[in-house]
Amino acid sequence: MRLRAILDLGGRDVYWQMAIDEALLVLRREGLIPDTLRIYRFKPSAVTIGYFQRVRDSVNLGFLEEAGIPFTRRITGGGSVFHDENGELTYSVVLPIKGDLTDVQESYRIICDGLVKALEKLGVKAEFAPVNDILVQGRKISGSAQTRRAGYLLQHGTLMYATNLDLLEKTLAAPREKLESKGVRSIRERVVTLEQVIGRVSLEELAEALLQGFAKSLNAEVYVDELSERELEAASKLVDKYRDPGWVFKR
Amino acid sequence: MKSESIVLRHGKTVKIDLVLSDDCRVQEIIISGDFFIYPEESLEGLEERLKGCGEPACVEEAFKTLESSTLLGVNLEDVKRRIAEAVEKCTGARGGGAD
Repeated sequence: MRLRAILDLGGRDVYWQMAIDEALLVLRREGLIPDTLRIYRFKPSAVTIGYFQRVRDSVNLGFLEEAGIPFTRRITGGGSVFHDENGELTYSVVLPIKGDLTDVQESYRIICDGLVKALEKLGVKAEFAPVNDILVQGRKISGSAQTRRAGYLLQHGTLMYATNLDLLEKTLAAPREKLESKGVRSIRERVVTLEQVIGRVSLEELAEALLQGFAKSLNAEVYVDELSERELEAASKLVDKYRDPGWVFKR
Repeated sequence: MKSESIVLRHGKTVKIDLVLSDDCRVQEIIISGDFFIYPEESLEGLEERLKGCGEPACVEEAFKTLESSTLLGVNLEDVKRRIAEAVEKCTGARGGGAD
């Protein structure tokens, strides 16, 4: 297969990033764009929460408001994520649901394998931990989330290369039960950044590793492209949803 | 009216925020957490169906909404059992109080 890749590393706010991801799914489903991988970052730093989460249980709302950190709800399930402007890279991919991607859990494994292979390229041994995590040295370095609509899937996920863990810990609320089940006392103890493992890696180097990783995991020939006017226009129609308190606080 | 929060661990975290009316019917319910359900909207369908349930059989029936959904990180049987138990406990306590 051929996979279009968009390196969107300049950074956009959380509302636009979520709107673009949803727009890509909509346009792919309508047959207006090809299978597409996007690699991007959030600017400014932001928080997203999973579709099924309650704001009050998943983030430290007081801190987010005090620090002026924007946040929104994703259309995908999973947990809350701190997207550090200077320490976290995000990927998203839209694909038709067929073959090995039909089974949900298997599709997580296949797509997450792109990150595992990217990390291997950088000399880091990583492993997929079902449902949706990637671990390095037993700690989480990446989490992914997927939604499915009418025969197509959108999966997006994180890669913490130099996330500020102090800030991460202040922004997210992790239930005591969850931490205990992972055998840790704090979120900080459960996660790891690439910087902690191999030192600082440039964004460009990381993005290139991700392109190669996804090419391998999806058995695809990757070509680099840019976001089109059509995609940005489709996203502009969705962006207000992600700013709307009715959406953000819907649960 | 009785409010209750139940937290379950099924690999992912599932929290059930439940409000029962004076006659022990589900008045409000939000099932939240970091799990995955496909399609996502089916959970809202379940929550709607649960409203008004005042006995375990009704809870059982409501969960049929999710029969064709795919779930990851959530044990539906456990969630169903805990909601049914909460309703039953309320009904029992109410009955006991009236005697």
